[in-house]
Amino acid sequence: MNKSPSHQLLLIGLPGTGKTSYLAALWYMVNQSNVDCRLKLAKLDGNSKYLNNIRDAWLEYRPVPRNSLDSETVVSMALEDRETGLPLGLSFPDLSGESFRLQWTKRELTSGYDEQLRKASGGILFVHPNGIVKPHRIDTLNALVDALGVAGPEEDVRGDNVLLKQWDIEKAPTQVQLVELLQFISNREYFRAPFRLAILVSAWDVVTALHQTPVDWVSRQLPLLRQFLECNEGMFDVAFYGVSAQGGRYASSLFSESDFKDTFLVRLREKRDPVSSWLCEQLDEAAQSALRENAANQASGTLPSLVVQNVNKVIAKASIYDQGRFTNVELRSETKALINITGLAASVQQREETIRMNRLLLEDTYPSEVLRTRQNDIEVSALHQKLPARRVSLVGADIKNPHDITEPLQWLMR
Amino acid sequence: MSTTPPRPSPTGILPTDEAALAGVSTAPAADDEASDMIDLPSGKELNEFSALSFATSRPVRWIVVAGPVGSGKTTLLTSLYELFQAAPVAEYLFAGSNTLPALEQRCYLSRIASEKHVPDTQRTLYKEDEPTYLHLRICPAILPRTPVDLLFTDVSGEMFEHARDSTERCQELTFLRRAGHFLLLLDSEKGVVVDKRWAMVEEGKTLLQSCIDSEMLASDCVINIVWSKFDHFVAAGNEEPHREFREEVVKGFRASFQHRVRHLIFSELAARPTNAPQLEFGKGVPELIDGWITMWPQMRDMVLLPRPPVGTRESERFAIRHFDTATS
Repeated sequence: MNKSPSHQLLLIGLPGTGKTSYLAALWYMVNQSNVDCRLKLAKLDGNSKYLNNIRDAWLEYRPVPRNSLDSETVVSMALEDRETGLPLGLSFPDLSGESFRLQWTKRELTSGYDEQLRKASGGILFVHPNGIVKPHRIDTLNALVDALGVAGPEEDVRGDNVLLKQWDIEKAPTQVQLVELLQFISNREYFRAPFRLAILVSAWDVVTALHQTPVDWVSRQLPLLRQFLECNEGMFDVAFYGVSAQGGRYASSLFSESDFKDTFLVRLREKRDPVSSWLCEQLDEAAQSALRENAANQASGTLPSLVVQNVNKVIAKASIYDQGRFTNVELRSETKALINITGLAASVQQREETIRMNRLLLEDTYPSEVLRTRQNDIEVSALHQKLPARRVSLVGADIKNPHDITEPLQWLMR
Repeated sequence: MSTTPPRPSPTGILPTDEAALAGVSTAPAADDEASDMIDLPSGKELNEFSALSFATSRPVRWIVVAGPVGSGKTTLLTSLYELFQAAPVAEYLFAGSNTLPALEQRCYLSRIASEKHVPDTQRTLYKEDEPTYLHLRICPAILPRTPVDLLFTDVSGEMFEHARDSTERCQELTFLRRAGHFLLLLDSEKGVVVDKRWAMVEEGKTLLQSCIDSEMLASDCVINIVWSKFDHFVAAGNEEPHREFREEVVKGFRASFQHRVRHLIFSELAARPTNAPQLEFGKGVPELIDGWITMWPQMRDMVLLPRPPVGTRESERFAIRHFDTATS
């Protein structure tokens, strides 16, 4: 029996770095017979429900649901090289970003991940330009403040070593956490060098204006990681890529200050309807105080940002729908449809849908006070004009096809 | 739980069981599902045992940073680490560290994340007879990129003050025997104050004398007298008298020690030059790194012998002393 060569690759990355979005776009692309993608699906193999779910979200321009901490999904694909006709088995453990963060914070890893790591022949390390924590020093900030000639912060008068905030390992710079993740990998007793590692900068469309190559971008934004990789090139064989798997930003269901008219605050303060009354109670003390001050100052046109932040927290937390609360609100059909969907058991996958439903509920409750436009609307409509296969773009050295999302995989399996 | 025994890794991270054996604490399992979790190295500062264990697996360069309380020992180490966060330093690249969380914690008060307005360094707590170490691996930017492991002492000033006052206490600081570089920090903040400066210098000289008289420093150890917080001299102005003072100090050190040690050098350091912003952050640090790499005693790049057997606390101490004597 002719068995296809099999590869297991790791998807490594902190939370929100685009691992699952990449996987969703990949699953779509390898399934298409009419796109320029060197690797294609040879046959369906086993349960592909998870891959289908994330692909559907990707096709509907919805945020791809993040993997939950307790699931260590291993996805398998039976692929074929279009040029050579050779079959390839590929499997990825799609771990949550949180599980990688826990390696840094709790100093432990799951035995499941350890097992996957043992079998892995390479991996993809994901980095997202918007999620980088940098090691900003106070002296650098102070120098900047001086150079700009603006009033700096007042001197500390609380005495030596009085901490304003305790050190939190979770807030350590991204590059430090990534170096440690790689040190953990190379520390395992079964580690075999060189370990092929594709560094993927996600959401590359966000940084294209900088006119940098992915390797330049990593060198500037994550210099410690870059030095580490350079020094340890015998351990990690590295290639750098920039990938835009979504193709652009999606519409956000969260509110911005400009989404509200002044009258929204008035209705909130007066609490004359059940929704306003309930929503006002959900605001924290600082936001309620800002609401009162706003009334006292008779200010118009300035919605306290605290109130907006609070409302966003409320709609992001859980479903706000309650039949009694919304009984007098005329709901549009889209809202009703979402209520029916999200009324099912809550899951991580439905979180984005819940936020969208909550937004629609508030839009329906405040038809004259809340705008129905969304952040990123222009970008989203441009995205809708593209064929799905053209949403994906890729840059990096030796890239042959800038729309072939499998290029990093081809390099890893070479 | 993994059943495969860890081994010293290519990056040199101390494996978990080694760490446990060496007394390094690892994070406890989070919950009842502990059996599914595998402990990773804690990343905390290394204690004596874990540092020695590490040194048995690879050549290590031991660097002792000495000086009284508040002389800038930890600030030197954090600035060194901070410089690598931004770019290669003195033609050297960051190649790894076994103590990343420990270094991060020490940098905290100088980062905006602390919400402080003036950078600071948390004082190193005094733990009697418990030296700790921070680790950095660096490698040259040019080929061949042979990595170098640096282990820095991170001990409180009190420990050195005791060693200064008593040769017996000094002999307890067994790490001194392993030092390839001994940095003695002279606090420039006191150096600019007329009624403080000579006492500060004498404190330093006495500490060095105690270390030499106790025969704790190897004859080929590089003794580096470092003017720490040099930004205070720059900020003070009135340059000539300060320069003359420093020259007198240098003469004094040379007269007292040059015939007793093989290498006696002097450096200026403004690791965090808050008082003279015209100086670059980490002024003097690149030169120190260069010295640790290029000016290293011959035959010091050796792997220590395997660790002696571990017994009770008292016998452990005896074994380490014996071990240090045997390898010095």
